[in-house]
Amino acid sequence: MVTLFVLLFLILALGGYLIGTYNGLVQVRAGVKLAWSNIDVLLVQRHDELPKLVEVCKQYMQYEPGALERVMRARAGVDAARSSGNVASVGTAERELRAGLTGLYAVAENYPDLKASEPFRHLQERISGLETAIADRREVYNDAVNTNNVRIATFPGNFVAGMGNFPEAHLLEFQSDERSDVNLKAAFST
Amino acid sequence: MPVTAQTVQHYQILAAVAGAFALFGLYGFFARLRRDRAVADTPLVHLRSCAQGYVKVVGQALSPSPTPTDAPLSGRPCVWWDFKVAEQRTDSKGRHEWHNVEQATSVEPFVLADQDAQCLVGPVQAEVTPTVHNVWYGNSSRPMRAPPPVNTALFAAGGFRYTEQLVGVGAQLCVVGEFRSHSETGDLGAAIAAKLHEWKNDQKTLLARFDADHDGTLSAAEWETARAAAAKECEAQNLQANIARISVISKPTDGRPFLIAPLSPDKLERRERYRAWLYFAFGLVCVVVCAWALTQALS
Repeated sequence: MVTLFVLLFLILALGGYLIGTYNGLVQVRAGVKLAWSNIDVLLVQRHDELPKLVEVCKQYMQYEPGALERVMRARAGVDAARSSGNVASVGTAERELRAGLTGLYAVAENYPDLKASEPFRHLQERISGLETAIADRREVYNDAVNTNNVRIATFPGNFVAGMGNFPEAHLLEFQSDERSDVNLKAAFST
Repeated sequence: MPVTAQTVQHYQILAAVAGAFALFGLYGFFARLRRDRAVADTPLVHLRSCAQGYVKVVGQALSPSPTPTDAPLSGRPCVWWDFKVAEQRTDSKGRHEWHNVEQATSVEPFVLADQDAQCLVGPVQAEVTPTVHNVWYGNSSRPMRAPPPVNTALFAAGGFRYTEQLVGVGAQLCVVGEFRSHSETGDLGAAIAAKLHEWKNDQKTLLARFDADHDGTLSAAEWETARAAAAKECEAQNLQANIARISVISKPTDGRPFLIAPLSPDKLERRERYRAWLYFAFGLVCVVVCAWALTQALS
């Protein structure tokens, strides 16, 4: 009888454990989607702010259409990648936009009136704030992706994941060029 | 040893109690596993970019006011407290038992600050792991001395037992709960009253603006006009003011755990996992006892 009761207890515990694991995987998968939505909200907000920034810059930088066009092109690229839902292409487009914005701010340095104008400073602060928030939420998203991928690859998650639709999620990477080693020799050669 | 009906009954009671404990152990196992998963599967976020919803954050506990709250029994500064006062009573059989005479838990929100931002934590219905836990004894319903440095019942003297748990100011906490933000526009009624009070202090200007019939006093209709003007001005000021955003972490509405602990997220997760397996082991032992008692009762 003791063996029977112990077996019954173990079956109950195992059954509950497997149900809990399945529910946990569903929760983790939903967490990845939620983390992505939280980035998406900020991408849309920034998408709406960028034309205002470009408009303000246009008033002072009539002779620098290249920098402004690059930002607007990259903005359209991020929007297209976002709409497609492809994480890798969002990363590439985002990198392009960040490079464009850095270029725009660098050119703006040559225009003291623009730099001093209140709307420009306000928009620059607002966009920088959004970029910081996007970077933070990217960390959260990648954390959620990592949790999901580890859970579906390790036991007993892999066993339970085989019974349902639990695909591997993709990390969102923005700044692959920042990871490459800095060429100090080239930097000090001039 | 002859098995009497009374012995059989004892075995049956033991089996029932052990069976109930085994189920309790199983329930505890699942509940702790759920907490372990909630902590492990929720990504750690920065407060400055926290999205609305279930979150895990790490930060320092601070008092919302310049002077921190004092713990009710020991008077030590803290951000959260829980206390219990028990009195020793003797029943009709001469047995000494402790009876709770007073018990309370802090409901005041406290500030959680990380490197860049801060929010409030509303500890109502949270599972709080304290930074300080003291038990000491005395002769009155309120302690006359501070708690000793070491909790021990060896020097227990007095008919009252005081138990106090605190989360100290400056403690590094991990909080897992629901993050919600709302905009604080202030109390419009109070702002209108303050504006009218300000106008009343300058009677000359007040009469110049609202004394339509120039009789030197404000009639009921004129006063109503002044009130309407004050309301309009306050509403306009509210619209122009920077709206403060207040964020609070509180108990999730969907039943997920709300944990506050002075531990790192990894340690908190590990603690919940160990507890889950402790419950499992306890349940297993109870099942063995239950089965053995049933075997004895049936033989």
